[in-house]
Amino acid sequence: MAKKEFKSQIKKALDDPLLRNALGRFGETYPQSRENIFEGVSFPELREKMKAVKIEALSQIDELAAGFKEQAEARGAVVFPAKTGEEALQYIWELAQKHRVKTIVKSKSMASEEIHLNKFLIDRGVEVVETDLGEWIIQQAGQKPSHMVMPAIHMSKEQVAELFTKSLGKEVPAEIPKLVKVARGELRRKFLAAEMGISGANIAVAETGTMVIFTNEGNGRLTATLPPIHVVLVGYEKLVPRFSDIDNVAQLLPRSATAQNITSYITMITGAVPTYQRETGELGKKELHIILLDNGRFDLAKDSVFREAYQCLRCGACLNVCPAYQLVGGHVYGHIYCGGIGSILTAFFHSYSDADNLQSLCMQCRRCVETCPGGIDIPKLVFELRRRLTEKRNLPFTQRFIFQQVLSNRRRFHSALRIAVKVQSPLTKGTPYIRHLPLLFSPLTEFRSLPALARKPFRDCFKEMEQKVKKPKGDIAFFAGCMIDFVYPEIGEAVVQFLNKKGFKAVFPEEQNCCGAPAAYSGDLETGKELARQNIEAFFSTEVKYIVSACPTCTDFLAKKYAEMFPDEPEWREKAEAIAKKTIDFVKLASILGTGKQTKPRGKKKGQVTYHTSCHLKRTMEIYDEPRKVLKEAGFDVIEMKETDNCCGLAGSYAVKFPEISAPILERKLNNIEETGVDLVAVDCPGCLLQLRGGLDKRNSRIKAKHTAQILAEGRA
Amino acid sequence: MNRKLWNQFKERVLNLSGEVLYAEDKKEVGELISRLISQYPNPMVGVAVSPLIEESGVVELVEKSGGIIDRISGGEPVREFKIGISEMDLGIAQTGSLVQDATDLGKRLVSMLPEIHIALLRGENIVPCLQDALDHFYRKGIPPGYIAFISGPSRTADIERVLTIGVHGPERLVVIVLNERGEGTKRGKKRV
Repeated sequence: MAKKEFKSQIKKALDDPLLRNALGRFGETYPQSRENIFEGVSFPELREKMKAVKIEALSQIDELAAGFKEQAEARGAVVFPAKTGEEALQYIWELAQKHRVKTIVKSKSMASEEIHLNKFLIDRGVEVVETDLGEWIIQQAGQKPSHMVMPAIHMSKEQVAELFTKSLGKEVPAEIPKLVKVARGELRRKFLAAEMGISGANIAVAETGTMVIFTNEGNGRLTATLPPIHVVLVGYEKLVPRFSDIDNVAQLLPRSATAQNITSYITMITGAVPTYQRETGELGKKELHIILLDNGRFDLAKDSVFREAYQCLRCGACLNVCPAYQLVGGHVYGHIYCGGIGSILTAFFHSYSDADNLQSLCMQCRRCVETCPGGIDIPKLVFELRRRLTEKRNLPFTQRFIFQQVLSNRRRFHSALRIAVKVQSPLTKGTPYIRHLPLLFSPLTEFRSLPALARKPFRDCFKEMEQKVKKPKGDIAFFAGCMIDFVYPEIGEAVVQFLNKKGFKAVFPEEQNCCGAPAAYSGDLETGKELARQNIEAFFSTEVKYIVSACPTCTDFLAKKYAEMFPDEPEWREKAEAIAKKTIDFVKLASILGTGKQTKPRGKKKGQVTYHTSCHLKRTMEIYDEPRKVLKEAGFDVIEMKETDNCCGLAGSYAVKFPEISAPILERKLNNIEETGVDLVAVDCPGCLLQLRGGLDKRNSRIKAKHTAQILAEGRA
Repeated sequence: MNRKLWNQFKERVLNLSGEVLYAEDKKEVGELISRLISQYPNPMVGVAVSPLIEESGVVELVEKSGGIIDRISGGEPVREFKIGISEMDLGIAQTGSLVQDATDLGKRLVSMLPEIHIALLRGENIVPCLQDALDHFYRKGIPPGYIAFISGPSRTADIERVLTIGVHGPERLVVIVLNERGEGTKRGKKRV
């Protein structure tokens, strides 16, 4: 899909109040319900076990498939391994023809959607009826699911009633219990008439040939029981070695998908069971056909990075917490499979180009990593997908030019910024904000002001700073990063002042450049590597105990990503590892050095502050308690805001690409901040600070947003 | 019957919008079933025969209380009926689930087709957790052809996310727990 069409789909989803409301409410309640339902159960333990089972299964996939086939066939099933979707379709079609099947009832199966089974059969004159209530509704409406677990979440009861009235030719009232009753009656007739039932399965057990299906409505059981023929379409990733592994999935799947302890029904089918034969009127054996679907799964399994996606249970927990998915839903953020994980699956089951728009919606906030019961690092996979896509098709010209011609040449980059400072004055009108941008760029300033570039970059300010340290304990190197260097030099000054107070002298290696994250996160790993080399060189020779950065994205990049960037260059890798060992985020360092008594005026409270938890701080560096501790020591009462660790919506260049998604995410964040009633919000990421300050300025809010370093520096006075 | 397991089981079933009734002998089971049947005007009742069902005289009771009996034994056309009665093999305390080897077609139909499902369960067959149920059915290394786990009535939240009971399966699930030895409950203790 072209970018323009994609953008207009996003607009359509955002402008749909029903969808927005339903997805929003669900996004708000799900995290709490999920937490409650995992109470008394160790999620990390279950997840580790699940991951181990999936990795084990992946390593012996051929043996498991063979074992499953042997066991299931010994119990009377027929197992057909389908290499492609086409093979699976043909198999089902031949079976349907052989038994003169006119009507097929289906229980929700993602694999069947993946191979476009319904369309294929309907084109050949077979009646195919989806029996999951939500799926049935959208089937009648001729739409696609807007949510993986709740496919018709975008429709009101009035719309459903109108739809039923039209398709059934009788008046149906817009009352949910009545609508459900009508559906039961209509679908029951289909169940009793259908010659074939098609379903998916959530688990396939190799040692026994058992298939396990989780449902709430009970349509899965009817599909498997009433028609004399049952076809199960199941992907290889559903194979587990042992019958006892079912327990692990049963503990995780319903809790993750819908925050339920257990679904109403769990059905375990091993081989062909007795069924009523309509032709003879006698009890006979069921025709049970199991299609093991490859369709790209083996390629995925062989890929050294993406094989991790094999651990996916298809529960949708990652979508339930995804800030972008919560806004636009599955019509936008889905091809067949939705969200970040969907972009990976789509790349293998369909094509890389189908996956392109999907991956672009991932903000890399890492929220999903916390909830995935398969232990998948989805953002890492999206990051890799982005890199491979960029390799294939290059970045857009301006971005490529900025990354490759400007960013990676420090002198050129810095002089460009110095020129920009001079030409921005008509836009800032003497204030520190750019409130409106002309024409093309106007969406960037519609919902938040942008900060003006600082008149004097930090690197110049630093030279003029007098560092008074009585008995120096040593040197600490400061990595500024672009935001602090050129937009918020005052944060850098605050960091230096704090270090001095603690008895350390700050050093600032002049040759340091952009950390490389923006280029790398956009898929340009080469520029990322070039910048990494420059920074490694700049810091390698400094003899310091710590390299401190006050931007978590930079910190994470220096401390974690640099070393991963040079797998085949041991010399650089070694240097990168040495840098990584010393690199620390400001707030972590502050908590180690202690702010304590020096910053706290005797016995007096400094007031209240609320804290915004930045994505990369919490979810890559696992820093959560430290800023709270530091602020409390500095004499503040920390009032927690709702959803403190929800993304602010900036996500690097995301806010530039998708301002329409970034804006409502920021709105929600600002509302949560305002709800605390506090007039100071602390944050440790200059990017988040830019977003929050800009949003607060647009609202004319009295609330001030400050970097923790600034608050600590002020606290000393 | 273990009192702790019973209490947990009961609480869970109620949480899942199911109903739980308690009986100390088969006669009481019969009475409870009669009372349930008589709540509906001459309902069609499907019964999956099992030892406990036979010993409790369910068939006669159903007929006496105005129900029209349909012994489900497979080999007959599938018919719609209002109430289904069957015996479950296990209960799971941790989840409030009922578990049954439902390889027999009749057993499957009475719990999935009707609007009301009355499930009989022997109190001593309540096990602590799901893994226990899996172990039970895996004892010989060969699981039965169809194992049904039932936890509360059939449910959906597909329209406006409003939880609605009774979509494709029963809208009412009544569990009658038979505790013949009377152990583990207050009533039981009084009798000793």
